[in-house]
Amino acid sequence: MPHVNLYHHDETPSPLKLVWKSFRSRFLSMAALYVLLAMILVVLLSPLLTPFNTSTQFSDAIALPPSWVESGNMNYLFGTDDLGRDMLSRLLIGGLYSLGLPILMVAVSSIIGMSIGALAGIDRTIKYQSLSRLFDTLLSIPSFLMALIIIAILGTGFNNVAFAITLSLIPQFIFVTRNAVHEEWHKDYVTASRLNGCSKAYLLYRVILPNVTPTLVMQLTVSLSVAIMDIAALSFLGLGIQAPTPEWGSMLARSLDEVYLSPWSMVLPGITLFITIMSINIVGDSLRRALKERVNS
Amino acid sequence: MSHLLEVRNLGKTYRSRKGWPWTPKSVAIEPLSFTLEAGEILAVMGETGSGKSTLAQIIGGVDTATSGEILLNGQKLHSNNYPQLCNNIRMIFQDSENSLNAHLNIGKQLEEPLLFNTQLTAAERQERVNLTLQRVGMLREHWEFYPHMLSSGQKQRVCIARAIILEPQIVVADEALVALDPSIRAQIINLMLDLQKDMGISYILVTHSPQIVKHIADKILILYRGKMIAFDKTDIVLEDTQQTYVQQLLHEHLKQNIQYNSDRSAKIAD
Repeated sequence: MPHVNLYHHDETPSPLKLVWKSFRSRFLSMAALYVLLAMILVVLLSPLLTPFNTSTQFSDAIALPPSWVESGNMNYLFGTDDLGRDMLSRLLIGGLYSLGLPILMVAVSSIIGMSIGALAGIDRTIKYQSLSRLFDTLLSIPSFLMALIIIAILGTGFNNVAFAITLSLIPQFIFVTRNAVHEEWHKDYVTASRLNGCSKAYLLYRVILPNVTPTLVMQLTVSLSVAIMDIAALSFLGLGIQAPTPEWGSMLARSLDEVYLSPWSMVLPGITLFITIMSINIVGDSLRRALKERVNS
Repeated sequence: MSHLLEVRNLGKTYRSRKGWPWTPKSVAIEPLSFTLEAGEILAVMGETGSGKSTLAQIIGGVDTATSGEILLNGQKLHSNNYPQLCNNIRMIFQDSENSLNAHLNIGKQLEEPLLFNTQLTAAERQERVNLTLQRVGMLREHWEFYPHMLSSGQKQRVCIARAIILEPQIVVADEALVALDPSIRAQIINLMLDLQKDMGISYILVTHSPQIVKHIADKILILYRGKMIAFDKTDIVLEDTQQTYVQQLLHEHLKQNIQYNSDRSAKIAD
């Protein structure tokens, strides 16, 4: 007999899809998500989008206000800074360091942290336990302070800053992953799968991972906003990415001197930083809310 | 002739997490022995904390015993030998809600034991899952469903389906009927009895309810503070008047009924 579809087929949403549904139903969270995605897209395409080289100094257009001010020039959309460099180009390329680099750092530290955390969560042998506890002691130091300490040892510079912040993000990932996995490990459904004779890899990836995904994604958003703040703060203090490189934090620091003469050179990178971090925080927060709604329903 | 399941001097002691190395270990189960034949239903009874769940978990392979051994068809059963274990002894958990993975659909969860214990192809696995689902009174469409879309009775059926899909010889049910309301409980019991008839499964039921025990059990094992105080055929245990505790456990509900009835008649007389 042919299998005829007589009835309207209801879709059967998985719990993760339900979370996404409730996330999608909120305007603010979707707006933040779109802003964030647009930011990331612009940052990725920034080498193609920049109208000028970031270090070219236009001697005829020094400290030019943004184009929407009467004395501005349409050629320089966001104006120029005190050395006559185009602000728009600097902001776009700055995004590579202020947003692109943190994404990369979070990716690396999450891979390292989550794998150690997952192993420590399921394998109670002394090897992984001692490793994860060692990283736990590092949790007592705020991540920014730890990055500072590492920079104090290694010295400033692009590579060292990236390394320091990546390293300082790892303990959080280990802690969150280990606790989440360990909590799931003792639930009945994992025991049932264990009694099904599942391999450990299957248990981890197919059984436990879907159940801890929301927690991990939340930790990713938190870490991303921390990483952005840290790299901006370090650059602001002059410890991070060095002066000619256009990083939002170092642009802010540089603009301190002429804030009364050319306020846009401070306001623009400040606003960009603010929008980026706020959209990430809103996405993370909405995610938490969506999860709570699913648990309560 | 060897028994289907023979438990010899099985004991379990444990040390609490907070205890020092020199503090004496607590005894969960004092060494006990019993046997189970094919197609029999053994009811394990006892009050809360008497070790009946621990016993079920040891036989089901969740926990390991500290002493003694379990023989299956005369072969020693190793608690970490999962292929041997799950082809022969399967477990139904107390809480069907938590024993199903919320993020996998029913079909995938039922496929899991087949994936790891058989050489079936994907199509054969699907066929087997569909058959098993129908066997427990569900539809093949339930493959697509996630646990949160099912009622508690259906979840319990899925748990039973998972237990029988490998066609085991023994199913251990750890208070699997407690959370269900009476009509569904009756359905599930009938389902379990049907499956027993069809497939010749032996059951080990851990339960509080003397009614169910009297109704379906072939043998009764009674635990009191980790000690086995009675193990025999149901009718023999029921008529055993020597031990007051056994009588209390098995006939308490009758007393309550009598109490209730006499209360009512007293009220009516008023």
